[in-house]
Amino acid sequence: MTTASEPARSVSLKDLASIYFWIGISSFGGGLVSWVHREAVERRKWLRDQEFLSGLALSQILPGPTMVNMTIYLGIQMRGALGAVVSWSSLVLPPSVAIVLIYLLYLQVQGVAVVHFALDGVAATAVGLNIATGVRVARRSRHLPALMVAAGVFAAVALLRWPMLWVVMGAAPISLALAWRRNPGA
Amino acid sequence: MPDTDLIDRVLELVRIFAPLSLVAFGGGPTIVAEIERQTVTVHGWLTHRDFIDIFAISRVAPGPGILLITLIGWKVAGLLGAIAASFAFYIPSGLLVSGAALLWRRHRTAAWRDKVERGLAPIAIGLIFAGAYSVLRATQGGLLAFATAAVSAAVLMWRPVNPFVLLVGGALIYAAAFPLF
Repeated sequence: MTTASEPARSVSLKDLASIYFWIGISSFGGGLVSWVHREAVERRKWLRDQEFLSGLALSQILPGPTMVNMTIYLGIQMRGALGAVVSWSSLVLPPSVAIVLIYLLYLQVQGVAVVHFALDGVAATAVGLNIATGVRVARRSRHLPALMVAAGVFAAVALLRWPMLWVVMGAAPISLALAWRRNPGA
Repeated sequence: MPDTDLIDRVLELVRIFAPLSLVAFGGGPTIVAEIERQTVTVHGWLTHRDFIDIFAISRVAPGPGILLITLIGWKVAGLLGAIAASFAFYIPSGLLVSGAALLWRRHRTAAWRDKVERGLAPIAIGLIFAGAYSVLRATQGGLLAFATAAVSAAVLMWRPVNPFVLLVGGALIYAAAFPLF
């Protein structure tokens, strides 16, 4: 795997570790992708804009968290498999430890009623952030059959409570076929 | 003597999260509804209260929002559960993106990419809204929760505000309203 990707620019593993450590541990509330763009493309010029966008497109198409996919993709592009492992662990492991510590702290104060109230507020606000993402994607696919698929997936998962695995495996071929029919060839 | 109950729960976490990894088209927000269904409704590992608190903590803590899974694992089966649930979710899609990263350069401009993106978008939309619905249903806030979500979505679409500022604002408003309830 390492031989297939040429480490074109001189990016050290230490650089990757330090960048992703800081992005992971100091990014609150999301928006990590734009931070990577600023660091890797604008400031350090490790990648061209086109390479970055191409990696972002791939990370969004494939299943899994976009930011984590993107980290693995860029790691491989810059330093092969080892680069991916170093970048990924620096991004994910320190915040994983932090979140467990925060959770243990929460367990100490969970008897206080106002804590749950504040967390209700955070949850409702966070839902709003997700809705904004959903609306943004929906605006790009304003097409009746596509929106019907979206409504069907929503009803199956939220209202009928069907397992997501079956819903996605059933809906994906239909939705992909619609995308192909709408825009054949090309 | 090994705790067979614990081992069962750890294996069940892997059985839930490994397949989800491969259908999470659209990232973290798309699996919230399924996590709630599996952990609260199907297995009864968490109460609605636990789920809301863990979901909220995962959003104000640093790092990718997907650390929700790590906390769910911790709540269900301690350290072993946190490790098992996280790796079960990270490894399948991680291997997929690694393989694709090596092939991708040859298909830089392929037209099918655009169609795959268009084809998967409606599924992500449906799943994201389903996740929003299941969190709102689980909160005790009722109308207040729906209104807060609507306002926060509207603000974010109107101005590029820092999401963390919004989250803290939501926490403060609720804490301030607390004496009224």
